Amino acid sequence: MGQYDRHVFVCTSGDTCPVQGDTEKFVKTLRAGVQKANLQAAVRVNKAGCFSQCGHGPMMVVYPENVWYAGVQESDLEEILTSHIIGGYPVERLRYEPGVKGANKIEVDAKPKPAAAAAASPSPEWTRVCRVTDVPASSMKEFAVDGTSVLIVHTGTELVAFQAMCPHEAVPLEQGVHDGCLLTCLEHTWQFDLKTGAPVGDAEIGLKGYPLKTEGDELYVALGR
Amino acid sequence: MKIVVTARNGTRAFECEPGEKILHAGLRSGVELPYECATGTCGTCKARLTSGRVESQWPEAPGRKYFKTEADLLTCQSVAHEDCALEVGPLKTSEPDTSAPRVFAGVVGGLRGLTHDVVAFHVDLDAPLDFAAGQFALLTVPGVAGARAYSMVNFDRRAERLSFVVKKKPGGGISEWLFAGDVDGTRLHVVAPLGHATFHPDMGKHVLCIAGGSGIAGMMSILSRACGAEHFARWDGHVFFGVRTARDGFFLDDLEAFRARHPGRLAVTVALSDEDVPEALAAAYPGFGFARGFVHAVAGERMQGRYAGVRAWVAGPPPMVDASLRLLLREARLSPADIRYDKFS
Repeated sequence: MGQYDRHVFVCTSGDTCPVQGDTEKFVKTLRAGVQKANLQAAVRVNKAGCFSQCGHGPMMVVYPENVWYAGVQESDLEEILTSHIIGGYPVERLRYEPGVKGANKIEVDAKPKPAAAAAASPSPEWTRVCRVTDVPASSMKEFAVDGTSVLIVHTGTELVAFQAMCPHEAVPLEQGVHDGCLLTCLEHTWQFDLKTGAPVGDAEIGLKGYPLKTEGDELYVALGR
Repeated sequence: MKIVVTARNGTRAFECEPGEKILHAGLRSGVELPYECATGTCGTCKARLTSGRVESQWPEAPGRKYFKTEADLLTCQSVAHEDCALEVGPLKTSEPDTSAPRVFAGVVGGLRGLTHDVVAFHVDLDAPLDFAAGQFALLTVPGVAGARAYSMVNFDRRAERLSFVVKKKPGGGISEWLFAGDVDGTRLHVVAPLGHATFHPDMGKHVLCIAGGSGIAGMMSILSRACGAEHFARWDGHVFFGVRTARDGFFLDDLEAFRARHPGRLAVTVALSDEDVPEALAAAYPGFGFARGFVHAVAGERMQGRYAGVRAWVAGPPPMVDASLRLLLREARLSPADIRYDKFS
């Protein structure tokens, strides 16, 4: 038996978790909750490195149950704390069960990579999507690029690219709405963070994002693999 | 027959009677299976059969467009022929005021015209029913194929009478049957209560109702519940009711009665999409706001900057509901948790 009844690991230093949520704050909130419950001797909350599940974050793992949580939002912490860390009942709706063993990274960074980063990865194939002006501010449009449907969203400040279909019921996201921060599919109001593609609220799966770059007046996407 | 359902958040088992819809059997047993419309359209109750045999009573249901495999089915349209195992969407938690849906025998009465194409009627139940404001019932009339969903207009505890409104719709089974005339005293089957577009005063929020045509039905129940709990003594209410022309309006006296109880906080606005507001109408209801335009557009104009702490209810024809959802998500930036809606279909 270990030194603690329950041991929580929060990824705070991977590539995507700390971008998908304020994971340093998560740790503080959880520690404060543990202290408030007077369980410092029984529960330990540790910052952790990458779990190799990038894109599903923010992630945390709770032992001894070996329960993995994905897409944790700040608003979920109270429930994880009271139900699982203190109460012993895992929060089923947040459980991470991707159905594959081992590493399981997905691409969620939809921002254009700086040239240096692009050069570091083995030369991405850039494919022309449209003219930059084809997607006016605060709009979004679906394009077929080499047989892949890509949604280009103008957030008001930048262009980002995601899979065109809602991962829920394969409804075109183009028919939904966005406010520059959140994209909502109107079919069943699944929502996604436009910075990361991460699922928000009822949504259970995030969006695959694609890097974009502009050359002059033309917009290019790297579909990858 | 035993039905075992597996969801991300748990596995449950319940008994299903021959001929009983799987959704109804689950809900009746306290298993909160996911659903929205309960009439085969929205696809929310989609499930996947992993063992056993089921039959859809409406194989062409529009909700089938969400199917990905041969094993997919809609629990609201399917009956079981033997013990079955299903994978279902996440199980819900039950809401206040409501009770597990059951089958009632009802008798139709009080049929009366409200406008040239809207009628009101009530159904007397063979047992009392607790429901939440904003819920609906499935009515099945002998000799008319399929069940139709109608929102309750009233709100009562242990209700023995449910009130409804129905708009005349050519080819709409029960609608046509009602408009054909002499239906008082007819027996029918009722499955109730159903629906998640509910209101409860404990939510502690301002109320925004956007209704098109007979979509006002559920709003009347919500206003009845809210006024009964003095909700508008502490919270604002904004009711937007859209109809085509002045002669399409109904329930205006009832809305005025609600408004008059909380004139400082409950505002009612009637939007006419197809004509300018007749002076006589505005004069008859001096306490109301009136505007020409689509109800979602009128609501959008008048609600600007007033969305903080608001929960919204939307009901009406699909284009009006979609336009309202766009408004509430994009302009109002409400969370989907604060938007409750019923799309007619």
